Amino acid sequence: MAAPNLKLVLVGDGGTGKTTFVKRHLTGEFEKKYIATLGVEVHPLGFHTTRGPITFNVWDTAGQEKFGGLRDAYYIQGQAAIIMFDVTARMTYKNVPNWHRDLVRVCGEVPIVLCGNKVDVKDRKVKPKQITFHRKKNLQYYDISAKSNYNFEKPFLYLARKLTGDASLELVAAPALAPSEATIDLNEQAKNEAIIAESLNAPLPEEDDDL
Amino acid sequence: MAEGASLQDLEGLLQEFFVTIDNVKKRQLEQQILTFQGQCSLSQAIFLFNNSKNSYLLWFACSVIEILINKKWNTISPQDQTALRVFLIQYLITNEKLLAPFVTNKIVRLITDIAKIDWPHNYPDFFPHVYQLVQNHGSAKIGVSIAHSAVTDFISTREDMPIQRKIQLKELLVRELPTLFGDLHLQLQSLTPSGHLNVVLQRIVDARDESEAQLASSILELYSQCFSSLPLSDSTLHIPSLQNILRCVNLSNDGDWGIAARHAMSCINEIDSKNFVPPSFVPLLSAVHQSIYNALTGAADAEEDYVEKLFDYAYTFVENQLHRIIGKEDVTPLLTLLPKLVFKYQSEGSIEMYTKSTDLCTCAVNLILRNRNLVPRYKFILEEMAVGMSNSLLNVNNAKSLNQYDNTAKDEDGLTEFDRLISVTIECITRSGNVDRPSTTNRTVQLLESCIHRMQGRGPSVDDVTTCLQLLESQMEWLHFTSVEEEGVYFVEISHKDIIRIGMGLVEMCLLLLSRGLESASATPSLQIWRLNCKCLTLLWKLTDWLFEFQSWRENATGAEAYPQTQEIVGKVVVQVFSLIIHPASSLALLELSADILRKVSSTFRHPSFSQATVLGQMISQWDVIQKNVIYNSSPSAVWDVDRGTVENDGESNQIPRPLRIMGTLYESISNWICLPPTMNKTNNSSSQWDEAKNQYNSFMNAENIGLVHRATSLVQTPGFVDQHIYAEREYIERLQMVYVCFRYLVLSVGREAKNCKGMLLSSLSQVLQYTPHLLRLYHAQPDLTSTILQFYLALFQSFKSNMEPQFVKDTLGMFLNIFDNEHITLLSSNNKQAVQTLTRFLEILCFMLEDSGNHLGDLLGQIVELCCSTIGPVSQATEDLFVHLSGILFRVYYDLLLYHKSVSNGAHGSKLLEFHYFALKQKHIQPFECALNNLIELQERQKLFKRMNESLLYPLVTCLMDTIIEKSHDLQRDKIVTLLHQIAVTNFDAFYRQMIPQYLEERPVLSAHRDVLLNHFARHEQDLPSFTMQLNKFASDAVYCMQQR
Repeated sequence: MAAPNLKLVLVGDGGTGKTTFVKRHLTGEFEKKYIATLGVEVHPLGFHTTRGPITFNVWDTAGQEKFGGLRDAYYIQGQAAIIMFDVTARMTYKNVPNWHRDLVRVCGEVPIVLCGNKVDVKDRKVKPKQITFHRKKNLQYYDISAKSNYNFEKPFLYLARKLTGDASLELVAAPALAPSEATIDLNEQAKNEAIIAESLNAPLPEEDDDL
Repeated sequence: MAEGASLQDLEGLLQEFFVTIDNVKKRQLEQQILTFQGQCSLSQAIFLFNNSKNSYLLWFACSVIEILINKKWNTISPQDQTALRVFLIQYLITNEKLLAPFVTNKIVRLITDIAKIDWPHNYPDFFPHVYQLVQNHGSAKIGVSIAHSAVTDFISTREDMPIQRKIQLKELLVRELPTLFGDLHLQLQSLTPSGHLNVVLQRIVDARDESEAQLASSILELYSQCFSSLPLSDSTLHIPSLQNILRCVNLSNDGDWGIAARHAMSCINEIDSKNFVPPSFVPLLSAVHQSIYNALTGAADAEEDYVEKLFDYAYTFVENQLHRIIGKEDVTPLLTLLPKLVFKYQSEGSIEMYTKSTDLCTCAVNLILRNRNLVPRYKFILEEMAVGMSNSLLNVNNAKSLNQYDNTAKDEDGLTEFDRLISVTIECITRSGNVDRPSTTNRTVQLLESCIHRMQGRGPSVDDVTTCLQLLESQMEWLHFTSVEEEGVYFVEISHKDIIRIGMGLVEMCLLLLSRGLESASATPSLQIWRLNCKCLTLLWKLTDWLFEFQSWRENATGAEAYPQTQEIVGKVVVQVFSLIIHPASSLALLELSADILRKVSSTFRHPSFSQATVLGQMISQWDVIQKNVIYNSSPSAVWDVDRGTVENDGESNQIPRPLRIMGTLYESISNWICLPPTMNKTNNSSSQWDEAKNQYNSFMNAENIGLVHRATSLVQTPGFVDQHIYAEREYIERLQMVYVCFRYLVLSVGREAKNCKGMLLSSLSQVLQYTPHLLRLYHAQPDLTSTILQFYLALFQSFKSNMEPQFVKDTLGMFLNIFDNEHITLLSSNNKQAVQTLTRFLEILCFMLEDSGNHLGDLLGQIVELCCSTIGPVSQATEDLFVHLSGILFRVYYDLLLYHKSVSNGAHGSKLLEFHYFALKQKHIQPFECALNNLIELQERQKLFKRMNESLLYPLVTCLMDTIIEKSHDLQRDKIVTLLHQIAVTNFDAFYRQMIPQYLEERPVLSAHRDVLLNHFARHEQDLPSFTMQLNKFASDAVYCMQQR
């Protein structure tokens, strides 16, 4: 049986690391240069799971409006989505509700993962406690770092579980990656994760007042 | 665009674009689509709408109109604008069921995009139109979608809209809410069944129309969006509407109705998350949450996702809203359900659910604990929580899960979920006040054991130890009040062993923390690390204090001996504390605590195997380092001056400067170790060990090892008598004071010990004693130092009584008498406070001399009497304040002189001293009066003083006492006064009744008029004390009456 192909839309502000994240999965390399994506680039990412192989056709969309191309047309028939923001740039988190709104308008109720990228950077601007949007909209959230490979497979695992309806699904062979480019302070990260867990229970701010 | 062919081309392009994954190809296709988009006009877009059912093409038409609205809207005529929006709405109504959702949503967005620009001036009927759509069941879904889109987009942060316009839109939107909510309410009411507000986990799937479910779902989603973005008010959302929304949580588990129910839940969550909730909403919210808790505690096999969501909502309510109502309303029914939750999810469900249930409890408990007034009210809740949570922590079956729980990431304070759970459980136990139950004790002990075990596994933290200590102390408080008889030997004994083991376990943890802290402090010194060390040390201080107190309490209560394990742990404490004392960066607070711990250890625990002897040797050899540490760290520029924390000080420490106290404490610790003979148990040690230990001890006792005395001596003599400037330096004076305080401690500690120790120390101090008189003379104007030196002498005399040469005592006394001559005492009396301090010390020494070595004083005795009678007595009597303060010690000196030295009591000086007593008896202050009275009674009892006195000496005393009785000036002392008068009368009753009483009445003009009446009282010469007392009382009563009549 052929591996199921699932359309996954990757959105978020420009420079949040969407393309780097995809390339990390694709080639294992960490792209240090920033080249803005024009329109959309589709990359098939294959994963081996306990339920067999699965392929996500990742629609890596342009974050910058000027390079937007067909914009929300890219979302059409999207079966899953990742909204990415940069934890070192507050504005990218502020725009998350807009990305989410646009996605839902086109894709409807599909599983969505919210990812805060660049958590390896010491000077984090969006603190874990401030990240509450996912609670309002029933999304899954992960801190990730494309640079250090931190949690890099988690969004895909979650989406695979949701799409297959198998909560116990696991990835069986980790994609080969180049060695980590940055070291992540695991203690610091553990703290952040605790805060995220705690923030699940924190009161929700006004929608227009997330930060 | 040639419409037919191009339409096909475009459709082909779009089709291929969405299928291909070749990026180059895709880019080319995209480019072509964009070219089409650029060329396409409004009329062509409308053509597409009218002639195609292909979703991609419809989307393409939408995108063309979107560009038009957002970029070229002003270029279109108003008629076309109106026509377009009418067309779009109409198109939606007509084709809604045929369109793909993303196309519908896109068209809705186009409508709201227009409204965003034109409403209300150029598009005034936007909302009326929406209401119309909502009211009509057939078009309600579209109406709700447009309203939803409007609420979302009007207050969106992203669009390039001027801020003024944003504010305007939001204000206008809020004004529309009552109407919108009213319409939504009616529509929702028609869709959903009426009934009670009750959340159930197993709900009946409603078989009604799916489209109705979708509409209900959309309405509830819109509500949720409004609650999230706009302020809540009971004027916009009426209670029936809210009831209706809340009721929807009962809708269904599955399908579209399930989605609607989830949206209803989101509404609750949004309201709970609000900072302001109208008070009228609160009862409804409470009811719905009560229902949620009921559902959570009741259902056995509910979907975990759903339960999880319910927990989230419950938590948000407890955290956000409960604190607003808990003080005002009775939320007992709600809170009673919380412990039940823990019980339930401890045994059932996943660890996540258990975590959530405990989180919920923790949050509620913290809420109660934060407000003192609430604690008594909800005490029973705390009790139930304490039982529930401690049981769950101790549940063996749960241990594995709890370990996972413990391995969760730490929060900002470095605490895991488990830490927080333990902490809140302990709070519950201690604050609910049910520590006095045996079951609680056992549970607490187990809890502590598991905490220590856990700390041993993963390493302790200051918070861990603090929390455990808190629990231990709460238990101790209770144990103090429990006697063996009350609770039964078995139970108390078991508890003791457990508790001592726990106490020692905690000490171990503290030591571990300290050693880590010291390592860190050496590697990367920082104020924070030293603060942490200080915190640990404070804990250790408390723990050792507790341990010792417990030991002694236990010994008293049960007669049991100390646990041998404590010796070992004490050895470790000493080693660790010593390393802190010699650490160059140790702060004053740390030194203070360390010294206190050492003193406590040295005075409480004897060293059976000389484990502390090594430390003692090190302390002596590194004395210079310690001294430098103390002095350096006491300077204002000391880097690591951290707060000591909350450790109780004794009264003395407030008067003595801290460095001084530290040094004194350390001296005392050393001398305790040097001088306390070891309590070695011969039976437990082999004889060789015993001998070795004994030799070791002896080697410590040789003069070489008491080098500290020599070092201190050198400090005393360093400046010699050369440089007068140095002497005047405040710092030098303080250092001297410090040295003498240390000497005093040293001397005092030897006081209890064997003669050979004393002899050794005395010989070491010989040089000190040689220099001290010079210093005393030199600093006689420095009352603090003088007072400290005098205290040292007093301690010296008290401790060395029999060891001192009579000549030395005599010389020292002579020296004092030389210094405290008339001139000096007169000078001193000019400053009352200083005079009291210095003279008290001096008189204390005199007292001691007179009491102990009176017979050896020889001619010095005369000098003492002379000094007392001619100087100290008159000087003190001249100033009332001074006299009052000094009377205690002064009359003790008089007493000693009169009692021990017959030559004094029989001579002229004796009369002089008695006069001082008479003078005191006339004073209004009770203190001198009482001192004099007691002295006279004692002297009469022990020496028959009055027998040696003639009537001329006794009569003034009688008059004084009679006056006191009649004037009632010291009526509280009347019994004693009468006793004294009786003692005087006993010497010669005849003289008393026939001469003294009549003479007394004669001399009092007030009483002389009633002389006969008053004398009648003494008609019978009563001789026994009771009759004498009665007689005198009657006389006094009549005399008072006579005086009042006059």
